[in-house]
Amino acid sequence: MNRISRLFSSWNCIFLSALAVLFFLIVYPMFSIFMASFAGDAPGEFTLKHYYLVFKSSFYLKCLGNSIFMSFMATLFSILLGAPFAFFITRFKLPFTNTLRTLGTLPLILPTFIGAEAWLLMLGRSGFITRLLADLGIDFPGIAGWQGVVMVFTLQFFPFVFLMVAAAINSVDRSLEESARNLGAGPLRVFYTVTLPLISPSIAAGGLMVFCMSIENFGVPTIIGGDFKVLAEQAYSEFMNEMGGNPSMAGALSSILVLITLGITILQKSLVERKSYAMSALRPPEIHKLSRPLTLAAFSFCALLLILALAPFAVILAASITESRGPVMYYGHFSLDNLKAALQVAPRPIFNSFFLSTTATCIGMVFGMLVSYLIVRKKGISAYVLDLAMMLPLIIAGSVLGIALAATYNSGPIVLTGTWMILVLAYFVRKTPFSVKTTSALLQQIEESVEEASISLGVPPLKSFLKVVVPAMLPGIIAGAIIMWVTILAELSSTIVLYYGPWTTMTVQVFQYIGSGDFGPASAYGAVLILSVLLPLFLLNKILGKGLSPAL
Amino acid sequence: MAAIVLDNLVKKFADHAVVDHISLSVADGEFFTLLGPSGCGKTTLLRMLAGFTAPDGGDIRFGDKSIVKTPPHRRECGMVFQNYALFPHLTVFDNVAYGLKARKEPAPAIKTRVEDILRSVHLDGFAERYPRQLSGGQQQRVALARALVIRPEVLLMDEPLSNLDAKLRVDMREEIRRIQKGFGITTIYVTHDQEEAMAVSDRIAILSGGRLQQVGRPRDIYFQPANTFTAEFMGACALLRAEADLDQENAVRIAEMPLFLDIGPTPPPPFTLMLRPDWIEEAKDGVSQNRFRAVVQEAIFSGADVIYAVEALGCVMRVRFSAAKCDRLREEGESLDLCFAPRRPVVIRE
Repeated sequence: MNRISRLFSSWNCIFLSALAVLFFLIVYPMFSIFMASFAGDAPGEFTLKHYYLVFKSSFYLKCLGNSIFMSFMATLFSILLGAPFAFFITRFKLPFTNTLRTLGTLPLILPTFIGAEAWLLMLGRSGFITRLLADLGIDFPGIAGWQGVVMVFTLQFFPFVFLMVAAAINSVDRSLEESARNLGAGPLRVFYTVTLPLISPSIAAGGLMVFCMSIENFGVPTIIGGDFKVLAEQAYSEFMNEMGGNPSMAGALSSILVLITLGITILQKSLVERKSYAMSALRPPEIHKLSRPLTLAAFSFCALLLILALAPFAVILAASITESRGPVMYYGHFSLDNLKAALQVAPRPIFNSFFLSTTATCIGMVFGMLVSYLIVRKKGISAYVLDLAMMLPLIIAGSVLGIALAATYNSGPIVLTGTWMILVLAYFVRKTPFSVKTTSALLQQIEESVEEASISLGVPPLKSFLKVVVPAMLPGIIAGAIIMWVTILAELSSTIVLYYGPWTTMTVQVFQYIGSGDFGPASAYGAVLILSVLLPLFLLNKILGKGLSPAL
Repeated sequence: MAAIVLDNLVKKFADHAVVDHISLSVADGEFFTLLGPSGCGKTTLLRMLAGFTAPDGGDIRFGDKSIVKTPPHRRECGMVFQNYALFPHLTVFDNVAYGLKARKEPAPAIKTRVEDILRSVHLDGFAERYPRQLSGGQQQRVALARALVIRPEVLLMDEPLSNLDAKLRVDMREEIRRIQKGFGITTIYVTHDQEEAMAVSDRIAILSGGRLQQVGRPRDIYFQPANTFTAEFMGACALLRAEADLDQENAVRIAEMPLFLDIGPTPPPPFTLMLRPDWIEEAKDGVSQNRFRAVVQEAIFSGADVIYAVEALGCVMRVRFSAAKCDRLREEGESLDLCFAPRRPVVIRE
């Protein structure tokens, strides 16, 4: 046996177990539903019937078209709003830049379906702004439909574009623009010939995130879409309707959904990644001072965008302490009944959310730490395979993964469907990529020689990892853990498929209340959810002493 | 402390031999330098000694025991990395104490030894600082202290001075030399800077393309390079093709000029002769032996010296005069007469 491989044999075990985890929680379940989508009525029969049904049915085709249309529009608007936002606050001297930057990341932590609920409370058919307009004699039909869906997605997802573009702008060394100026290009020409090409890969990467997040989302179209039906929603309802029978149709819809995201991701990788340039700015670009009217215009743009994006927070918090009866809100009538009911009468969902989220985060933290080490340090084929495999959870819709896991572990040697463990496993595998991302980004900056120094001073490899590398990775590990914890708390799509009675979570509870039109209790749980997400992020901000942006 | 033997060492990366059958022995307590341009295999060789790269063939022995199968953390090699590799989350004290704690030394002993070594690298008073609070030179000395405090059998240094500015580099290399002699520790030092190598080393191995070119004391390598690569790598030189001179004894012809040699037996002509810039002088009136005409192409004044690139003997060569002895700086295009002592030139056999 090779000496080196013996040396790192403990790492080989970790590598194999990491692959096993990804195999059993992603590859095998996804393969199963993919195969199930070809299964005929008789055992062993292979058929394209379900795909034929999808593409023959005008309803499903419409859903498919809607899904793509809505995701495309959300991506477009997110770029149109997020990129200028990033540019303005990184390159121009605006008042309250730091506050704008911090607030700009907040929409990401608002569960999307709660955002949808808030907009329904404002601009739905009986929303308070709609009624206000009606009192003024303006007839506004409400935002239900694709416009509402695209608006909610745009306002919640533009920070993906903003964060990536801002990071890219700050990594363009000042000397590049200066040399362009020196060669005779005017400011506008520099922007189009140097700055824009350099940041365009990041715009595309942010856009891809928005597209994937939009197409997999089914809470928002369900709540605010009205007659606008999308694929993610249909896969879920097919699966739920046919729980006892034939999961093939759900399998076919899920497979189509995954293939779309996969296709878009591959397209983005092949078109854009070739053009991305590794840079680390020694001197980030200069911050320009604009004339007074221009400053005002740029600031107003940023502030207005943030007000719209953050309005749901205020609306939900206000609604949680407003008297309500079903869908009817009595604004101005203060009441603690809804919050009391959430905290005292039915605290179980709150406990469930915290318990599941904490458990999955702890596992994911350790796993993510080891995997990012393998990816960054142990180069070669195995690291490459692992790196690719870790991308899988990102392109698979939560509801699809939920369906796959539920169908796979429903019977056979391991039965997990209908236990709390399957929720933990789903959360773990879906959110660990975040942990891997934050941790490996930090690890890349730690010189390998630091570790070798420890080994040459007499500390064995694995112990060196724990004593030298882990402390240096700690900020990344903590940031990753908090992001995992927070996004799991807000996770609806896989939960709604996998939960069962006693393990109802806050998100499911909110979603069901919205579904039955009980906006008061929905807002109360929503408020608890928002506060439990905001608090740790606030702490993280204090601990790390930076904006949320590096963590996200 | 131990002598080191490299026995037919081979390392290949994708069929390309970066270390190609190298055999060397380093004496106990010797300061031995691996010198060569980037990509010559010197760092790979060092990393094989440290155990971070596994050889594909051959053997490494410390003393008389083979260490090829010893994992890096049991090799007892102190290593100083090019970028110092200080642990950013630990203080200077904890950085230096790191290896001693790994060896489970008792706390009071650790404290004494760390304080002693910090004193010997002039860093007493810096124990509670963090690496980022230190200058480059100070970080360098912490790295050295950390490697030495474990009393390793062998000290390995990978271009330890390359991140320092020129003046500090000279100070630090004297410091390293002093400390190494004080501890008497067998040291393998990697650098691409031939002047630095000559200043610190007992012996130097010149590497190129993964092969050993020459091993020897600095002055032997400088004055008696084994081949043209070594000759040129160790400093500027003129390589001249010497043809047979049929008219006179002890003479050769270079560019049709008859020149006398007094360097003992030479191979049969034609062969290559080397002249370093400072072996050539301006010919005084009346000197006729080995006198030749040169035309100045470029003049560089560098303080102590004046360096001229001149066209002479059918090629362009550099000559170096002490600036103090020059009455004036020659202009481009001016001609002057040069000469060299018959004992000076060196035959390059490859």
